[in-house]
Amino acid sequence: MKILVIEDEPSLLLSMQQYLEEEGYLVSTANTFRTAIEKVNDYDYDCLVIDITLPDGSGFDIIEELKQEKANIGIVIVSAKNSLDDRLKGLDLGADDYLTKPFHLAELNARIKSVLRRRFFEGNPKITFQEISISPENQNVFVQDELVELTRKEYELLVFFISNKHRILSKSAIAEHLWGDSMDLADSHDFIYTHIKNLRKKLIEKGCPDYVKTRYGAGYSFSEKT
Amino acid sequence: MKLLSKTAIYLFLASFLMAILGVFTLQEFIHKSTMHEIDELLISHFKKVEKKIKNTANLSFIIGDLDDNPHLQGIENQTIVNPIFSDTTEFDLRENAMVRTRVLKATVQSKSQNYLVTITQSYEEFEEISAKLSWGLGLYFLGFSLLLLMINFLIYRQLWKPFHEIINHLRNYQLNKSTPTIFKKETTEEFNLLSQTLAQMTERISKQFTFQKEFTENASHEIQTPIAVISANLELLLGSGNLPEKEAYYIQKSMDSLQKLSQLNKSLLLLTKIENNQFSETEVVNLSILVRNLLEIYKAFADHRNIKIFQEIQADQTLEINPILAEILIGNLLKNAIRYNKNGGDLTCILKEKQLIISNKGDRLPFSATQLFNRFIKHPNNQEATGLGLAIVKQIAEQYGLKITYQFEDMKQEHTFIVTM
Repeated sequence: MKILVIEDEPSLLLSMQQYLEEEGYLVSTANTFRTAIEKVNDYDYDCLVIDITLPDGSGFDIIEELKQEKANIGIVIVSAKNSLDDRLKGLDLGADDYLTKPFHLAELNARIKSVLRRRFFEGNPKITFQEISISPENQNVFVQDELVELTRKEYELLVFFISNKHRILSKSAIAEHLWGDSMDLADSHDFIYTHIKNLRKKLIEKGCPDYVKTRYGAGYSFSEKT
Repeated sequence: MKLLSKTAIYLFLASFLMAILGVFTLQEFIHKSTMHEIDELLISHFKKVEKKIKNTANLSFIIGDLDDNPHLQGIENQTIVNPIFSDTTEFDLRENAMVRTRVLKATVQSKSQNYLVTITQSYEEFEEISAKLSWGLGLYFLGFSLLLLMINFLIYRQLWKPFHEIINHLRNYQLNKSTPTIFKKETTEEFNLLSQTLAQMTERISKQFTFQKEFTENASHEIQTPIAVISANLELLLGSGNLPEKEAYYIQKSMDSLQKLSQLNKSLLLLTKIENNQFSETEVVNLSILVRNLLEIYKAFADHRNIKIFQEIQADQTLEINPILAEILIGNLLKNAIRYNKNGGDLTCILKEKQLIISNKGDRLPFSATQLFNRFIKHPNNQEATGLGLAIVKQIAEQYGLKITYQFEDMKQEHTFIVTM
């Protein structure tokens, strides 16, 4: 899977590139509008991560240009502006998702995965991890063909975990994924703990090994390795 | 006391004093003049008598004057008495009283004998005229002053009208209002000066205010990017997975603080945006649906702390408001009611016509209730909070003219927020 990341802030660009490469993507980068347009025209990508405010142009124009020719590219917008208008404009132009800075790299990764899944595995977009398999369209989770009853939040948590498997996820990243802006950090820590505990219990009941690992009290990771 | 009444009192006192003073001064002046004239009269009379005495051989004619004025008295010694004036009183038959009289005494030498001539002249009548004139003038002056004051009273309202208009403008002046207050040109120079000065002043203030607001907004935007960089780098560092426990712990703590910083920044940005009227589009929001949805979102959070939610929501209650702000307003109140609730406490949410009531159990506030809606006022037990939630609520309420009140009931140990629409 090839991804082009367009972002004018070099440090952020580098971090995103590294994270996504660790996920096994082929990552190209562009830090100006001009190089972005050139790269988009010259190469084929599966997904674009676009910052709206670039020094020499607007990310919206890239999306517009792109959608005329290559409609099948997944697009995730990252913007410092948390404005509803921008969000709607981006989605109207054909972007798949909109993230507000600052965001967690794990969140970006999960969004990209979700976009790619929708675009490239139409009909059968299964998420699998060991004996767990998930069908996103009806949000059913199976452990070796046995249905696991999960609440909506537990389901979202599981997908987020699997999207970022083997990585340490901080509590704040999990909280933000599950609750967005509707809950403050202070309230969420032990609340998350309860959700994770329940998810863990339900998976173990169906015969899964305990994939949820607590890491140094720094966060959690979802991994088959011990 | 009104400026006008004060001026009137002082002016009246001054005129009164002036009138009294004027009466006596005038009287004294007339008296002096009268005396002078009477003395001249007496002298002239005396000259005639003197002439007559000197030229007439038979003085019996003069002595036979009916009212004995002038009075002639032969004297023996040769000393000459120069004219002497003096005051005395004399009985007046008409007035039937003693009247003030001027007397001139002088000696006249005739060929044969010296005479002491005494001439009298009553001046009571003149004094009466003088008194009448003086008091009359004094009263006239006083009357005239009163008339002027009355005219002043009558035209006061008209003259000071611009002033009251300016004061009214100032009273209604709001810094964050989008339309500037108009101070129009006045015909009275002083008021015009006041009006123009105020216009300039308010314009300067409002420019400064706008600048300040823009600065806050831009600063908040700019801060988000470095936060994003730090956050991403820390996440990479943590995600590498081979850090010792202690380092991972510190990174986690830094990420938490960073998250808080970002939240704080977002809240400040939101506050500024509300102040800047950037959520100006309104629509008719169905509050009943909104409140139900929000309660649904926070239900899990409430359940987590065994908080029981009691809701009583009348259907189809609407309000014209920006939908995003409506959600933030009610969401913040509900979040608070859960966060500061007791474990296993109650949360009551009532929506009826024109009123939203949200209450929760809890101990009395550790600070004054008047500070509750101020920025950065935090509960000592929750230092992690931004301290901006209720400030945002208040800002939104102000924006739409909603009244928001807080009360605490000691008996029930219950905090209640009421939004009146």
